[in-house]
Amino acid sequence: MTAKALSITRYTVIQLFRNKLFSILGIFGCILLGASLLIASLGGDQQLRVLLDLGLACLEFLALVSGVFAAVTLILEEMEARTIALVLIRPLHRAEYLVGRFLGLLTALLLSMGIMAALHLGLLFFKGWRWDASYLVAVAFSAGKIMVITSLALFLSLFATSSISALTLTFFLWVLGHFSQELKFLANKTGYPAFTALVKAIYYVVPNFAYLNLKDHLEGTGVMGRWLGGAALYAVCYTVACLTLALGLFRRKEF
Amino acid sequence: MEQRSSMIQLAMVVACTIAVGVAASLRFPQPAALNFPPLNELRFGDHALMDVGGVFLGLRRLTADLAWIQLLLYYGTPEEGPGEESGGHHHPDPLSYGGGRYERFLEYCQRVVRIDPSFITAYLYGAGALAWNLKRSDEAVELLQEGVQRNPQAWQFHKYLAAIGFKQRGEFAKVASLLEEAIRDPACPSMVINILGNTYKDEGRYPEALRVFLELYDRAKDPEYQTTALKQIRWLSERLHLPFP
Repeated sequence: MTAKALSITRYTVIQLFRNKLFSILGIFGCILLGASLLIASLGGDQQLRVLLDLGLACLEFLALVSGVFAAVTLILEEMEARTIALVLIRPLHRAEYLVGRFLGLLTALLLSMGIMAALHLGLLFFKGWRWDASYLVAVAFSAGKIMVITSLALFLSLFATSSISALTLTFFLWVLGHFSQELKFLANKTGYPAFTALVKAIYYVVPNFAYLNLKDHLEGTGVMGRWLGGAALYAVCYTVACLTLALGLFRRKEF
Repeated sequence: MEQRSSMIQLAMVVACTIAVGVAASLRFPQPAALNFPPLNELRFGDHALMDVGGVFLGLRRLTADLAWIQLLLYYGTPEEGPGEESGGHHHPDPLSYGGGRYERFLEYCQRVVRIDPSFITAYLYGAGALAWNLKRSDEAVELLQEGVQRNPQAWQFHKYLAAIGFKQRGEFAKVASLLEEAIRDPACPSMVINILGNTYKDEGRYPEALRVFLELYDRAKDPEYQTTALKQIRWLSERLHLPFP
C-alpha cells in the first residue's frame, strides 16, 4: 500500500474517533457491558455463559451499527459536501483514496472492538471465568463479519441513491446473511425448479455470515476448527470483491 | 487505459467469486454439521418474535440464554395451588425444591435446546427436574434422547438415562452411584447435586447426604441453591448430632 493511502487511513481513523456518533456508541457499549452483569445474575448456574454471550453480542452489534453508519457516510458525505474534489485534485489515485478510507474505517472499528473486548474480558475474569482461546477466535471472526458488511455498505453507498436506502439494504443483507442456511434448506424443500434456482442464487450471492458466526459455536470447538481457514478466506475474498465493485462505481463518479 | 483497469477489476471479482465458491464447497460444513435444527423444529411458544429475531441476527446462543432465563423464571415462580380459589398459592416444603406440576416445563426446555442444541446443561437440568422433582420420567427421557441425537459425543446423557431407568425400577444404589459419577463433571447443574443429596436423605443415609449438600454449598453459583443447601446442612447436622459447620 502506498504512503498516500496510509495517510488517508490515518486521517480517517482520527476523523472517526472525533465523530460524536462513534464516541457515543463506544460509551453506550461500555455501559451495556456493565449492565450485562445484572442480566447474567438471572442465569442461575449459567451466569458466566450469559455474561460471555451477552458481551460478545454487544461487541458485534455496536461494531455493526457504528461500522455501517460510518461506511455509508464515509464517501457519500464528502461527495455531497464536494470536499472530495479537494482531495482528488491532488496526485492521488481513486483506488488509493477508497482503500485508504476503508482501511481507516476498519482500523477504527477494530480498535473499538479491541477496547470493548478488553473490558468484557475484565468482567469475565472478575466473575471467575477461565481463559479459553475460542473467545479470541469468536471475536476475530466477528471482526471478519464487520469487515464484510462494511465493505458491502461502502459498495451500496456508492450504488444506492441515498444513504437511507444504502443503510436499509445493508441491514437487510445482514439479516439475510444469517438466514442463509435456512434459505438453502427452503430451496431444497420447494418443488419448483425456478424458485429453487432463484433462492440458490441468492444463497450464493448474499454474504453467508453463518460461516463467520463462530460465537454461536463456542462449545463445539471441533466444529469450529474445521472451517477456520475457509471462513477467513471467504471473508477476505468477499471484502475484496465488494471493494473492487465499489471502486468500479467510484471511478465512474464525476465531481 | 480505463478499459484495461475495468478488465482488471472484472478479473478480480471473478477470481474472488471462484475462490469463495471453492472455499464454500471444500471447507464449509453443510447445514447438518452446523447442528442447528431447521426453523420448523423450533418451539416458539409465546416468544416467537424474540426467537426468530435472535436466530436471524446470528445470536443463537444469546437467544438460548434468554430462553434459559425464562425457563428458570417459569420454574422458579410458585404455581397456583389447591387453594387458588381463595386466592392462595401452593407453597412447597422449604426443604424440598422444585416440586409441582409445571405442565409446560418440557416445552420450555425444548425451546432452549432447539435454539442452541449444544447447551448441554439445559438438557441435564431439564431432565433432572422432570425425572426427580416433577416425577415425569418419560418426558425426561424424551429430552435426553434429543440431547443424545444432537450431541452424540456428550457422555453425560447416557448416565442420566441409566439413572432414570434404575430409579423407575427402584434400584437406589445404582441411581446413587451414577449420580455420584455425574456430579464429578464440573458442568453438572446444581440441581443434580441437590437431587443426589435428597436421594441419600430419603434413603436415610444422612452422612452421605450431608457430604453432598456441603459440596452443593461450595459449588453452587446460584444463591437460591446455597440457601437450600444451608437449610439441609443444618437439618442433617441436627439429626446426626454434629455441630453446624
